[in-house]
Amino acid sequence: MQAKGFVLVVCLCFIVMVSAMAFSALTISQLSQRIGMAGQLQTQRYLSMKLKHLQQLQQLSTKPQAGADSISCPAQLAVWSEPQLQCQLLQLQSVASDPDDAEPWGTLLWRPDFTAVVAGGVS
Amino acid sequence: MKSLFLLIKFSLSVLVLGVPLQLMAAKTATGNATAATGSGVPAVTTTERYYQLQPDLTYRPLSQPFATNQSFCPKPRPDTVPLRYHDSSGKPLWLQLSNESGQLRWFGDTDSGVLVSNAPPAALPEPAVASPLLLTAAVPAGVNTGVAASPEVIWHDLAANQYQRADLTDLQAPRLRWRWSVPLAQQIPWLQTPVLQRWQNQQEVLLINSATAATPRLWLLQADSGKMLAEFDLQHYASGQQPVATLGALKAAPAALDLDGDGAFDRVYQIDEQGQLLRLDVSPDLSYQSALVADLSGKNAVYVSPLLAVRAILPGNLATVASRQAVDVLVLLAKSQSQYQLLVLFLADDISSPLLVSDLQQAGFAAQTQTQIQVQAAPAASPSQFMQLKRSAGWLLPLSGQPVWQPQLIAGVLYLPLQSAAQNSLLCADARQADSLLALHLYQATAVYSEAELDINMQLPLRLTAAADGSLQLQQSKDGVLILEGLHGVSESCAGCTEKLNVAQLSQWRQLAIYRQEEVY
Repeated sequence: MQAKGFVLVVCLCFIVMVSAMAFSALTISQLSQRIGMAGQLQTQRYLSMKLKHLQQLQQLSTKPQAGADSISCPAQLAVWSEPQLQCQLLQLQSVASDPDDAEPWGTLLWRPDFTAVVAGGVS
Repeated sequence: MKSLFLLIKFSLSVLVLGVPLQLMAAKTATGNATAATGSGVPAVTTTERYYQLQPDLTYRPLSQPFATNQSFCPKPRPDTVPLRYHDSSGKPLWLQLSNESGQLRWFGDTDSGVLVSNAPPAALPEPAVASPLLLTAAVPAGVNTGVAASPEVIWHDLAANQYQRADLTDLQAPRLRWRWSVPLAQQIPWLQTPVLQRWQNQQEVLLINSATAATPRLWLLQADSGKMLAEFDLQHYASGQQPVATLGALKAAPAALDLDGDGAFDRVYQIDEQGQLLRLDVSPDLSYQSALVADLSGKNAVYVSPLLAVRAILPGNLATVASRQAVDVLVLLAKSQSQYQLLVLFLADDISSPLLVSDLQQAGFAAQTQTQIQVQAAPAASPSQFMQLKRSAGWLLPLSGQPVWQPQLIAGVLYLPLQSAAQNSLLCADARQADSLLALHLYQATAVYSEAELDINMQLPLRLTAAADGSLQLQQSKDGVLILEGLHGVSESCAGCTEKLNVAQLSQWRQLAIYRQEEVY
């Protein structure tokens, strides 16, 4: 009688152990899938933000100097001396569509300002 | 009788034909005249008015010309590009300025004038390469864009040894905005070039050197009010150095850089007459750290031309891929007796010991004029075709003539107008006349166009304009004559490569950074 009770307890323990292992395996695999997705999601978010900012930029390009600061141009290979050229700095902001990620994203853009050069050619 | 009839007939036909011919000739003449004046500058009249600064700080017209006009050039010596602007009523105006012996002279639409001070003018022992006067940034924004602007000019009045800022909106009544007397007396008269830079809170400041050897100073002045913000005593610029180095006279105009892009300069380069190049890292609270970054002193070499400094990323062959950091590129002109030298230095941020002339590579572009490499050519051109700069220290080049204007960098190409005959005429009218234009790759010192030194006669200053197809070109500012078209810029595809510049491609937005904004608690 006692031996039957012992076997039952051992069986129950075994079932608990196996189910715990199966559950953890399932959880871990889901987790790893999520982790695997995370990178992809981030790239996706980055690209969607870039797209959004591009759309904003296209709307802006009709009125060129809106919200742009004049700075000295960032260091690059093809340099210009300062009296010749100044650069415009533009900061764009947008909120991600994903509700988990409500923090705004920003993009810093710059371009050389050729308005004086082009206008100088006309005059 | 018949011959008489024939004669009359002939003369009649000549008359009938002659009139349209004359008309056509007249038409082409006026056509040429309008073409010449259309893009250019109206002829300058000879009437010149003199205004003297009075003790009550107003300019009063002088009834008779001052005795000083003897030293002036008989024809305009432009120190600035012609400014085209509109007054408040929308009338287009034109103005060109020069600073001769420390007195401001302007050439306008209908008249010209001079602003003189009380003291007699000083004779200059040496000519100045650069324009020793400066327009405020407010003017260039309105210039050539059809916006109403009031030209204001800042210049060094040598006779009184002070800086003045005048409002030239009404040329009949110039108005003094402020004046600032240099606290130190000049031993040898030297026309200083004030440098305009932006400082904190969008304010504009002037960087002014003292040209006296015993007391090397740098002053920071508010460009709006003429109030002194700071005085840097550079006497013992590096006290930790052994032996304690002292600076000579700071005759060359300083150059300032904004490293972090916040709109305020944080680095200043200074060079003394002997060639000691000093770097000042200026903090927002106007304290600074200084270091000697180059000692270019040589036999009889004198450094008096304004410095040109830009921040640049070196191309791949000069810096290894991992260390492609931004460096400061300095362009200097040295004069020893009548021979000029062009020096280009690449200065890293963490420079351990001062750079010497022996560290620089001698550029021999003459042999390389035939092997001009375009982008279309194979990018894997053999490296032996290019000057191999072993270290990213820089290069130097003896010039065949006298530089007439400051060197300019356009998309990594260095332009320097030269006058072949070593005339000492920089003080006067032919001063702005050059007969060749040096155009070199900034990093390789190779020719960019058919030759490194292009034989073009030109009247300076030149201006950069865009052609209808978007390519860039250099024109004479005076009459719009084309000097060089289809300007090239350096390209990354190979060591000495260049590519044709196009405004449409250049003025596209480029991404500097994309980031997620986080709140800091």
